[in-house]
Amino acid sequence: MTPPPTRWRLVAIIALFAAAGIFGTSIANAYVLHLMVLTCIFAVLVMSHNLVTGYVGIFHLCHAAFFGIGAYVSALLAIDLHVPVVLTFVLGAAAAGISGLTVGLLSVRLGGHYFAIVSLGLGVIVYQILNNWVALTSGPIGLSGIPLPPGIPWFGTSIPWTPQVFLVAGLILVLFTYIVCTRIQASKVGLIMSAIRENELAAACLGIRTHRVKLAAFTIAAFFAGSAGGMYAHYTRMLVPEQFSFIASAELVAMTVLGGLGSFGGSIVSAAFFTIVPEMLRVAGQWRLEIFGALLVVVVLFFPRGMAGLGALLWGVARLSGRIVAENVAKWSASRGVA
Amino acid sequence: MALLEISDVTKRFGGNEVISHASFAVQKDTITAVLGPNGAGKTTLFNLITGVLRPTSGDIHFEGQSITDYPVSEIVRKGVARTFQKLRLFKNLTVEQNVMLGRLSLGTVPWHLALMRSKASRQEERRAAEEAAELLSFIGLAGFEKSRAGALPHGQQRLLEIARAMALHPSFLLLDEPMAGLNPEESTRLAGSLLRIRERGITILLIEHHVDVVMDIADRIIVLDFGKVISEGLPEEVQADPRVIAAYLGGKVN
Amino acid sequence: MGLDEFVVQIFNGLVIGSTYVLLALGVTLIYGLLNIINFAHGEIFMLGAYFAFVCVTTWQLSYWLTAILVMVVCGVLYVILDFVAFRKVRGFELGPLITSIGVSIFLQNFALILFGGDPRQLPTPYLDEIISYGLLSFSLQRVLIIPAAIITIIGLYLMIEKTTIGRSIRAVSQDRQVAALMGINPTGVIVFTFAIAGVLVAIPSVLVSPLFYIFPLMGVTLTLKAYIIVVMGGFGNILGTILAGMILGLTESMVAGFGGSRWIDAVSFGVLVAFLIVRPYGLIGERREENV
Repeated sequence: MTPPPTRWRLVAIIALFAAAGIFGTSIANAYVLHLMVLTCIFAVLVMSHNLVTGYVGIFHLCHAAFFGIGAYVSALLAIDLHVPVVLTFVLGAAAAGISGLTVGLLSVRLGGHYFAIVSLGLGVIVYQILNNWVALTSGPIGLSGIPLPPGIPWFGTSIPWTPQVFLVAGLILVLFTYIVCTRIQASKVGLIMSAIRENELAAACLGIRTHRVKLAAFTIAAFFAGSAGGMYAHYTRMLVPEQFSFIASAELVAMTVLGGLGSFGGSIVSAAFFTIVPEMLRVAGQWRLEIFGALLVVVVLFFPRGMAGLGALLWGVARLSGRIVAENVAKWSASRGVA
Repeated sequence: MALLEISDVTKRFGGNEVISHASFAVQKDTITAVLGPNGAGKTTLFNLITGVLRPTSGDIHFEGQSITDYPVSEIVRKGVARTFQKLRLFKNLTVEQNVMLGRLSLGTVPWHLALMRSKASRQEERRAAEEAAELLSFIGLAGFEKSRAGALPHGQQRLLEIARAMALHPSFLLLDEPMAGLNPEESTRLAGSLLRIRERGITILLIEHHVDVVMDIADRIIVLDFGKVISEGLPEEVQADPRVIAAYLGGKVN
Repeated sequence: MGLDEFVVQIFNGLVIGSTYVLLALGVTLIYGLLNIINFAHGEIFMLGAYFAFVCVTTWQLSYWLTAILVMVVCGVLYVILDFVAFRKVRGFELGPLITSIGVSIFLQNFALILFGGDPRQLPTPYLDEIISYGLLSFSLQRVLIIPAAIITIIGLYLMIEKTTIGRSIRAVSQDRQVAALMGINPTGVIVFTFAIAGVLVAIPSVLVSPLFYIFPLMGVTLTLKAYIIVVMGGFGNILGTILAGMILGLTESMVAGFGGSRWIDAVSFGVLVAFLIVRPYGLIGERREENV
């Protein structure tokens, strides 16, 4: 439990997001806008992954599957059954949440390594279904023609879902996820989750019903991942199973670890970093995953707290340098006889 | 009615009988010590009582109710708390957080209210912090609240585990070698604390190798050897028991 | 399915099973020794296959010389992998897992950059030799893996049970500190075990990859299959691993025989998940309770 965020901090964060929103919507460059929307979606994914892996401490390799379930369920309900998109979004997230619950049930019975592999297996099964059940999902060719959400009614007119609107929606989703995650962190819920991560048996011997906590964590995280999936589906309007394979899950692990396990701010930064930087280095596009892989190894070996640790390190360095500068300025003023 | 009753409990690992037809009772408001050479099965006994292990056969009753098949967290919620031979602290949490967990884990404020920081949840947290401070001062760790648990010296980590267990407001406290790593002065102080804990109405079952200290404070002694209860009774009786003397060579039985 | 087809599928099952067993044995040995899950296992296989390809096509070496070189290379690669990715993080339970994921991603793309994405074919003299038995015929290359697996398993068994180094491995697996106190050098044992794991991976890499195409991502599914088998057979349990490997191989072959090749992976994992729900400790493993 970190010291509870004060009201002011919450206001500051909302203000920050609002500023990002205003700034973002005024950007005319479609490409930059696109990257920002993607960043929002991946930020939600990484934060939700961090909740289970970094905070409760359950390492799992099927998070991309939750993402995919949310995406495909929402898309298919909209295309095949003409269900209104707002509802499909919720149903997609709910479907992902239910799968999270199922995976959580398995995590309770199995520990550490066993569960890592089982989760991997479940992710592969989902991917195989998405890839092979061509009648339902159009298989490897991909599912296209996913409808946009209906226009937002606004004083007589209807606002269509332009990328700017998606950005605002994305920022709201990120904000909501961030607030939930940090609220968990600051409350007894987070403390209990940390206890399970630190020493599960000791937690059980304190009366903590570890099974329920793990289930809850998985369900919440999967729900958020599914909601990111729904947004992704209706934004890009095209889905390919490849995007939800176990390799994608492995990449998510990389992003979470690099952002710092247990640090949700770090997750957002990591998502931004890994969405934006590779695109900027598009010439070296082949190398993106190379760098990923190498970075992952380096970070785990030398910077176990990831970007959060790096951030803390930089912040510490900044403070230290600030202090050194201040001291020297004071000495200089004293030697010059300035009061 | 005894607080705890072990009836003909046997625990087998593969072909190995680690606890063999053990039977004894622990009365309320007593300090009972479990002694025995290393490997006698004392910690296994604790694991059986607290639900970490299931007996191969036999029954365990707590406050008259059979807890033989209960999961760990439910046994704890009945009022049983324990510490561990090999410390199991939440090393990266603060001292205060470790102790608060004992209170918060049983807290009744539902999660969604805790997330919304309702008045009740803030009160619950405040009270947990106050109680933690009180317990830490009782056990001799006042002032260490904000330190990282893993940074404490070993002896103080053991005291922290006791404070954490007490935060559960248990009626039955199992302590596994609480004095390991404490110097004689600290051991004496802890012995005094144990007597005060008993006065608070908490029954204590204790594994300990500092036999002389234990003989002073224990109301009853149980001696295990090779998984069997070889002697049980008042400290003077057990001390004089030839079976105990034979089994416990090397101990400081005076 | 007629009797002929059935026999073919059984045979295929044995081929696949043998491959899987050899893959899984390396994994199980390492896990038994160090409690490490290595997600880059399949990538060593993949690199071995590419190296074999280079040996045969670019350097025109003989097939059997290539085989020996690949075994050496894979052994060395595995030891290097330990030094780079695992040494430092052996303390954390999931550290090696995460770094091995990083290495796996790295190596896949390394191969992609070095060799391009087009699948390669490793030519061998045995591919074209057909064996006929009654109405069945298949290429000799397919058959090679079965005796290879048998010989390897026997060799491995003899090594572990009868030799000093084998005893050392068993000792270090059980308790590293005690083994060190008894004069066994754990580092040496660990290096040796990793090298053996590399050799175990190299054998199917050379023998089986000619039957399929070589491409950068080929190792991914293989790692997964190896771990399915290890989980089913019981982590660290050699006999269980062999059993589970054969069972999985036969199951996959039967599924393929009934026309469900696309679903093989899903079925394999489905079997795993179902299995774990019922018997989390493997085919032979017992319920391991932790006495704390």
